[in-house]
Amino acid sequence: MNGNGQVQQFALGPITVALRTDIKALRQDYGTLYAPYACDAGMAPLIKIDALRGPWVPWRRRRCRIHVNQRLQFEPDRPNELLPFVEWAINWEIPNVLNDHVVLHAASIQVEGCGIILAGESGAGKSTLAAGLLARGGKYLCDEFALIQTERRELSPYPRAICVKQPSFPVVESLGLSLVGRPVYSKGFKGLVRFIDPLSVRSDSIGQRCRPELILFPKYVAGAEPALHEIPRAEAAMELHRVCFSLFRGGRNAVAVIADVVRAARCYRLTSGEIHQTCRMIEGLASGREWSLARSA
Amino acid sequence: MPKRPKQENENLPEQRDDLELHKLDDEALLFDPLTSNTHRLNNTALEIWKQCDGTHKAADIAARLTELFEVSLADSQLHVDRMLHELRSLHLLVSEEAAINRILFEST
Repeated sequence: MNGNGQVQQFALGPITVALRTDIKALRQDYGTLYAPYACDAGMAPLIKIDALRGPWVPWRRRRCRIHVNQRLQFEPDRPNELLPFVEWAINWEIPNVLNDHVVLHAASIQVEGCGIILAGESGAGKSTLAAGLLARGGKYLCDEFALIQTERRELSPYPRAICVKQPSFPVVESLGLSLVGRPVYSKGFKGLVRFIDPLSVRSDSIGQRCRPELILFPKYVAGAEPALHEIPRAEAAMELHRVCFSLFRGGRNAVAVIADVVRAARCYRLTSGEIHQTCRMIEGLASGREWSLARSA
Repeated sequence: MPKRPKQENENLPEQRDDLELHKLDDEALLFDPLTSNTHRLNNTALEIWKQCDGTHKAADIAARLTELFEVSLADSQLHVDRMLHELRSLHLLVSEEAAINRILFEST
């Protein structure tokens, strides 16, 4: 690593990120996306990202080296890969540094004050559902993680930009979230993506700390009628355990937190189909309107 | 001289005391800090687990299951034997091997 590059610092919920880069386009892209969260560089950041040009090698495209807390994580070589890989590097580091939270691979959102965890593997439709609920008035917490504060068992907002994958571009536009003018990036094998700053949707779009009361395991099935199937809490806990990044440190505590959270929540498998219908169903559950209907289904 | 690990009495299965049980409705999660594995116990497994306190024989546990659930003694015995076999293979019961694993883990 060399000593070049300007440092910008951002505070997103419990995560503070310092980005040092000598690549102007990345500085502009990241700085623009997270401008509302820029903070004083005097704070000690949890995550230090150094995205610096690598050495020039004849006959090869010059790569960028992305170090996270001084560890080399990625070496993207195309300009439109830089921002997604910086985001990815931050995601990789969060479970290592966020000691007072249990980190789940799940979207989290607040609807009518009800904290919702949408847990699932990559491609299950978490980000699209989070974008859908946000567009319909929900408060955004995060599209990639459910960060559960261990003492209070509450979800913390981590308002990173929503990462929309190419197959979801038309769906997201149908929600009224314009993608026009938002740059298209390449996220390796995950394909092309665009980012949406949740604050660009509404100025009050970021949620507050809240108790998770609904835990959903969505699976997108094209053309399917949205359906809910209530599952036993132990099954939900095992599913959350599977997507928990905090087990390798403090596994005992993480399992206790998951058990407590599940105990206080209603848990469902969700077959998601048409986005508005699916969102309506989730909103109904969150407000308690369809609780008895879903229970008997 | 190191303390000799406690050996399982094959007839009186006993839970390891370092495991953590989290009850969820009529089921439970069982966390093993040595392996960081979590196991799900359904209601029958949970009842069997509760009886593994070092004072009940497999036959006593099977008899208890027939009281709680509508199953024949033969079926119940089969369930209990299978469950105890699985618990032993996962080193969740007190045994010489489980105790050695624990000593090795704690010394690292």
